Amino acid sequence: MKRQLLPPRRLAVLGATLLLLSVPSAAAAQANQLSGRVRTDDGLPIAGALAALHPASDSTLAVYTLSNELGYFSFRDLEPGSYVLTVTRIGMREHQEQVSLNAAATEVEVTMESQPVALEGVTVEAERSRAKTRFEESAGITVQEIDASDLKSIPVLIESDPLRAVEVLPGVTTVSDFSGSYNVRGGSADQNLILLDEVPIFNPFHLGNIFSVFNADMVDRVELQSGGYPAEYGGRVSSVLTITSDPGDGLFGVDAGISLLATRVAVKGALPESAAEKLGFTATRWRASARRSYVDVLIKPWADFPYHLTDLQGVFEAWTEGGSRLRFVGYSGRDIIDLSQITDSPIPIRWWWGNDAIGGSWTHSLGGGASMAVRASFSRFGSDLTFPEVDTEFQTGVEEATFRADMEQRPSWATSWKSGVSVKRVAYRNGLLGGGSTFLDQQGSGLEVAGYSQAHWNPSPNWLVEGGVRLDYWQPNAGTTEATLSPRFAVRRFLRDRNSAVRLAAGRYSQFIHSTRDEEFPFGLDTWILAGAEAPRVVSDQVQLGAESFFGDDDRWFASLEGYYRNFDGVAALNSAEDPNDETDALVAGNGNAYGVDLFVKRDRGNTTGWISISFLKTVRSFPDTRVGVQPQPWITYPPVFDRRFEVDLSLRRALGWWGLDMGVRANFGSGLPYTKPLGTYHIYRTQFVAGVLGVEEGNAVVLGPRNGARYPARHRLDLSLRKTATKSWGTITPYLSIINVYNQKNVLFYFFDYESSPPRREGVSMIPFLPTFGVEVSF
Amino acid sequence: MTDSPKVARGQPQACRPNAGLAMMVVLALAPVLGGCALTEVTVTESEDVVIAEAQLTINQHGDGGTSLGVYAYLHRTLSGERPDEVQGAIVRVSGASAVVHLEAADSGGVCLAPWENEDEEENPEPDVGSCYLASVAPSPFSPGEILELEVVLPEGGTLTGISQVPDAFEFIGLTHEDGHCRIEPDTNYRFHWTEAAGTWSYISDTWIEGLPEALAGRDIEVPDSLYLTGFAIGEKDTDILFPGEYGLFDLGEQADADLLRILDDGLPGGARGEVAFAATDRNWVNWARGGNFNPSGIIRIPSVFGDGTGFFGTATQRTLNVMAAPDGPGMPPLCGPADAPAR
Repeated sequence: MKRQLLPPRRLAVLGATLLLLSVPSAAAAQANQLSGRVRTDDGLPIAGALAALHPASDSTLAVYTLSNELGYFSFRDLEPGSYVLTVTRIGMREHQEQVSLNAAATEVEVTMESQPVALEGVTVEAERSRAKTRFEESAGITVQEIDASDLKSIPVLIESDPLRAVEVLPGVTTVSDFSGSYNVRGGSADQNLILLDEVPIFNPFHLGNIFSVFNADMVDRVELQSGGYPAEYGGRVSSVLTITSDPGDGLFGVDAGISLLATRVAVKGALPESAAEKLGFTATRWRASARRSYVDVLIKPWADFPYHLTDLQGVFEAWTEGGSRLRFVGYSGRDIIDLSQITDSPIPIRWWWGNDAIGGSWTHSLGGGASMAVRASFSRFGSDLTFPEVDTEFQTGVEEATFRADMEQRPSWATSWKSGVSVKRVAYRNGLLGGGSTFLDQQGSGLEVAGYSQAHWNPSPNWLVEGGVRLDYWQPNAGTTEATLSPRFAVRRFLRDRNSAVRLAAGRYSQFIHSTRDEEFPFGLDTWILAGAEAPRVVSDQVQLGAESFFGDDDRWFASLEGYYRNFDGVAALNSAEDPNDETDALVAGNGNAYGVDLFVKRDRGNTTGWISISFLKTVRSFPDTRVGVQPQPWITYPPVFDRRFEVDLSLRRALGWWGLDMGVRANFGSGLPYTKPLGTYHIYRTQFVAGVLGVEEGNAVVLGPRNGARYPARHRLDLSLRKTATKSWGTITPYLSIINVYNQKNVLFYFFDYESSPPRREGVSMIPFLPTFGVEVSF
Repeated sequence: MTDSPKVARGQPQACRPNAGLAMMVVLALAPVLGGCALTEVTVTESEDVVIAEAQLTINQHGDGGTSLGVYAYLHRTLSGERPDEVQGAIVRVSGASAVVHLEAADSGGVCLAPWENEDEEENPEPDVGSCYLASVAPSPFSPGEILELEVVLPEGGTLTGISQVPDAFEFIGLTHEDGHCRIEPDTNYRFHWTEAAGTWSYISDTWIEGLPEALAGRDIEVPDSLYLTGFAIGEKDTDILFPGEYGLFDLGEQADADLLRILDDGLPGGARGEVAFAATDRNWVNWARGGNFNPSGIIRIPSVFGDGTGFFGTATQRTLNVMAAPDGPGMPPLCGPADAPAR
């Protein structure tokens, strides 16, 4: 097929058009509007400050908003008159002032002073504010957030893990305790975009997917967008998980910890003032961390332990006098297994894998609430597994370089408009080398040019409408160039004085990358392949309808109920019958769909906080049966291994009244996952052409029943964690105990059917049994 | 000569990176999983499933003639109680202009290689299934023809499969006399042949005889006869080094690494073997390689469907006799110039 190139002229026109759409108009600063910027007394913009505004005559008519990442906030649709503006932020002294509004737009500068506090649940306030602001300002997106505090209280295996924590959110399914890989609302695991700040991480797991690469001490919050995201988001069709790094407060400090897995340390601080001034920064802050497993070092005098992991992670943020923000993030991590140097090793292998990522962004305020951002990032993943004795090597790798520019403006009191362009180059390679020969050499690259424009419109206080369109232009090095036009639409109707809402969101999403990992096997690394000659693009049309409400004293309760339907066209699976004469059929293209309902109830104030999520899901996949050699091939439809029809997750946190203990509880119940049941086993024979007979081989093969036609029993598990933070003169120390599977439920990971024994037996392996783990964290 | 980078000493599809990685992770996690054993549950019984392994070969002879060999070995899923046999089945292969009916025959030594095992107690001879076969010369079917297998079971039920026979192929640059040729002792010879459309893998195998005498005095264990297999992947991979590129997947079964290392350098003087070259179809390759992961055992990709499972593989085949000997009276001609040892 003729390769279609993206003409440079067309690319330039596309980019220029989208950026021109975003140029702030002269009328950006509007009447009936109060806008302002919140900064510290040393000039550092304050994001997430809660700004409240009420008429001087009636404090019950308050409206709220949060400052954005540049410290800006604005109120619109205001009547002229006298108002009271109150700005609060945890750790800062409250700011209050009288503001008089007339027909002209009003801008204020708010300076807040530091006020150190040591309150339990300080982050709850900020999180609740973010949730309420999102509720009021976004029409369709479904977002769940876990902040740093909740992250550490959720009981998990060995140490706090941002990716493992996602398991407790509605619509999220995991197929194994031994894998942090997850599925969202019937999507495949490779349809989840995982971002460290704004840099994609392709394979964010250590030790066969058991632990994530993210150090919880570096995390400010984890946000999972599980549906309804607007046009600015692309690249994956199922979900976007953003791990937001915490650069700290600019003051020097250390967080360190030791668990059964690893030791870790995170240091925060700021550049010396003189250095910052020379660089033109009014304020800076940074945090850097290192983590390493230590068992190999610990037992070195007595024995060789063949495995270790390392992580290095850092974030740096700086602010200029003009209010611009520069932010850099970096990560590098490795897992290394080396059995080749160990005497009498049964599997003398060398294996490493890991990610490297770096990203930078510049965000600049244009006044009147408008802003622009420019971002660049590079991320790569690689793995190399070597069998020195048999001269065999498996290699896999993927890398992505992205440049992106976004511009947001508010042309009128009721509308905002955001547009952007991005250019992304992705490349991959997968190889199998043996005996000096190449058995597999998959490699390819692609250029993705995307542009979007989205509008946000408040036609009245009770309605919120969002609409947008995204164009993804994908040009692989081999195969057909594809352009996907993705409209997105969402509408929200507020009820109960904007404390409740119903909403509808619909959109098209596309994806140009696949993992070839066999999803039947719940361990292992992803190996990536790009859409093009060897794989299709994925296009998913999605619709969701929901209702949500804040209720109770001080909005301490939140509940949402949402139903959704998704189809997936172009999902890919390993083609087990691939033709060695066809270099493009390693994957087989199919389709699928998913529908379900998620219920989420959360309490974020009080002595006991937490949430319960209840999810119903049904999803199927359909693929051509490539085993059949005649055309047209029949299609087979089956539930994928993550089709968990019903799941309940309870996550609670409570400050106990004795010993200052903080307790976390996680309870989970999930209906059984599908698997393919063997019907029997048979002798294996091997053709001897030269003799014209079959020779008997060792071992037996199995005959399988219908694909994923059986189901494992339902799973359930209770986990507990206890933390106690003691304040010392030098800082704090927090020992913790985490107990996984308190009542030792034997949830099934695999069944093994042994039909050779008499009578035949079914044996198996369970997921994680009762497992207490402990560790210590310190801060100073 | 071609300069293909591929080697023929492997079974490529069985070695996908994912399969390898999966196996490695299983091994790495074995200690963890070991603590998670579930209580055994007795399964009522395995289902009675018929497995039909049907193979059809069009043999191309040096004189230009052809013959057809086809056999179907029918057996069942294992059970301590029911027999492995499937007697009384009707088996036929249909082409565009001919139908070949397979007749029942004794399994041992006809469909199956003779059972040889030194430790009968530990590794007893497996139950034997039922053999159906037919031989016809000249072949009523042609290379490239689409054939259909039908097996009607005695208890009712039908199994069917379809295959397209790979095209015929010819050796290139080979000198032989009535299918016999010679290589110099301790040298390799690279066989080349023409492309056979529709081939998924060229499989070449051999029984090498005379090794104990040829390697007398060397301090290694040598079997009386050694079965080795070599592969070439895809229809364009049309060469293989004999014997240097044979035997990787036979390692450990009969041949130890030392013996294979000797064969890398060539066939020892006095050794000889009949060598078959088969251009095999998709069904043959799919059956030989693994399917998706399943913890209960090896999965094979069937091409026979219906009231059972199995495969219906077709191939075109040529056979030669090769010996390692210096030139002399009565010796067959040199196959061709020697090639470099396999490394």
